[in-house]
Amino acid sequence: MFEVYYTQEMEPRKALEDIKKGMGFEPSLAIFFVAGKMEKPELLRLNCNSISVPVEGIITPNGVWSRGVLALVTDADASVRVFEGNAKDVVGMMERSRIGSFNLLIYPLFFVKDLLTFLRLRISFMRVNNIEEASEIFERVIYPMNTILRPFRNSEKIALAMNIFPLETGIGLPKIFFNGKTIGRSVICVSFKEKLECEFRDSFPERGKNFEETVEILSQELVNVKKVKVIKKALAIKEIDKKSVKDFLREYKIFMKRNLDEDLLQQKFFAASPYMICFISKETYGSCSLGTFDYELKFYPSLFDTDVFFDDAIFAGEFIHGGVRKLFEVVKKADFAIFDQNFMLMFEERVNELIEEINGYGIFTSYPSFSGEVEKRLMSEVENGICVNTTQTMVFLNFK
Amino acid sequence: MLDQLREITKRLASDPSVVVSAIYRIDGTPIVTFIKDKKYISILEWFESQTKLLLNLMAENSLKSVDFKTRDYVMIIYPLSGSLVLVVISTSEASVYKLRIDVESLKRILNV
Repeated sequence: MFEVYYTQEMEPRKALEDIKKGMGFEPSLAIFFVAGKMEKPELLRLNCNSISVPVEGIITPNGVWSRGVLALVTDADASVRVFEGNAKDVVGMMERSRIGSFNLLIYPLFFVKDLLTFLRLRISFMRVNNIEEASEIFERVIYPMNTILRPFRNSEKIALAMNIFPLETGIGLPKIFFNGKTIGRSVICVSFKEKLECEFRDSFPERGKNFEETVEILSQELVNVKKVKVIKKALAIKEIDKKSVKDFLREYKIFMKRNLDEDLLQQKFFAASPYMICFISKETYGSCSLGTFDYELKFYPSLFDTDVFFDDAIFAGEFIHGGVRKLFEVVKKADFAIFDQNFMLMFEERVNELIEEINGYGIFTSYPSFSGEVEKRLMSEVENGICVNTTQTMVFLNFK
Repeated sequence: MLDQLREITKRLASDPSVVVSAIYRIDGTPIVTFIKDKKYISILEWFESQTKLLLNLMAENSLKSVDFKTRDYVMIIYPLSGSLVLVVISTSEASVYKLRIDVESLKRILNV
C-alpha cells in the first residue's frame, strides 16, 4: 500500500504530527519531499527507513505549493542502500548488489561537501591543461545521469532517478537525509521487490531515425538554433566552435552570470539556463541537452557522459511549441507525478493548471531520468533503455 | 544608436513567441516598434493608454520591471536606461525566464 500526505507545516515535528494523523498503517518506508526552507529536515523521521529530499514544488489535488512537506509512505517490500563514492565506484557497487524489480535512485547530481573540498578542487582545476584531467575533476563532484542508470539497464530492471540539483544551490547543498543523517555525496537506492507502474515521458517531439533527422526535428522545435562542433570528453567540454563556452555565449550576446566562486559560496548558484547544447546520441539518435552559463571556465562541466554523443551538436534556446497546452497533451493521470522544475520557470503560475490533468500528487524537481522500456521513440532516450535529459522530462507513477 | 535599438527589437522578435518588441522614451513616445502582425496593434495601443503612471514610476527609479499577463499574452516592461523602456509582448507559449534573460542580456549589450 502507498499513501501520500501533504502538510504546509514547516516545523519538522509539527509536520510529522500532521502526517501521522492521517496514516492508517505501519509503513516500512517514508520519503519526505520538502519544498521551501526548513530548519532541521533531518528530524523528518518515522519508525521506518526515512528519506528527506529537497524539491522545488509540491503538487496536490488542490494546488501547486512552494512550501510544505509531501510524505510518500508505503508498507511495500523495499530495501534501502546508500552507495558512497565517485560514479565509477557507485556503479560498480550497484552492479554487484541485488537490484530490485523497481528502483528509485535519489542523489545529488552536483555536490561539493565543504569549503575545503571546494578550494582543493579549484586549485586542481587551475592546474589542469588537458580535457581528460578536467573530466576526472568533474567526476569528483558530478554523478553523470546516464552512467548511473547503466547497471539497471544492463540487468533489465526499472530505475527511476531523481537527480537532485536545486534551482538555487551552493557548497554543501543539496542536503538529502537518510534516517536522520546527511548522505553527502552518495546515491540512495530504494529497491522494491514488486514492479511499480511507472511511465517516463518528455515534451519533445519523437526523435529522428538518423542524425540529420533529429537535428531537423530539434531545429523546428527550439529557437535561435545553430549547428556547432563541440570538443568534449566524458564530463568535460573544451570548446564550442573553437571558442570557450563563455566566449561562444558572448558572441550570441547572452549575459547571465558573474562569478562562479561567489555564487557557489553564497549558495546562490542558479542552476537553470534557457540556452543549451543539444547533443545527439550515436546509439539512438535521441538527444540530451546541457544548459550553458557564461562563467569564465577553462573547461565546462557536463551533467552526463558525453562520450555516447556525436561531436556535432546544436546550440539552441528553450521553447515548447504550443506552450503549457502542449505540456498538458503529454501529461497523464497518475497517483504520483514528478516534473522537471524548468516547467515552473517556463510557465510560472500556469503550472497550477496541471493539477486537473494529473488528479493526484506530485513534485517539481530537477529533471527525472529513467531506465526501462518506453512506449514511444522518446527524444530523451539517448542510450538503449536509458532516458536522460536536463529539461522537459516527467514521470508518472501509479500504485494500484 | 537607433540602429542598435532596432537590432535589439529584431533580436527579441527572433523568438517565435514574441509578437511585439518596442522601445519607448520614458515619456511614452515610441522610438522603435517591431510588430509581427497588425492584429497586435490593439494590444500595443492598450499598453500606451494604460502605462503612463508606470513609466513615471520607472523614471523615478522606483520600479525595476513590470509584467502584465492576460490569458493569451505576457507583457514585460523593462527600463533600458534612465530614458528608455523596452516593451516585449509574447504569446503564452513563451519561456518566461528565457525572455527575462534575453532582455537583461540586451540591456547589457546596449550598456546604457
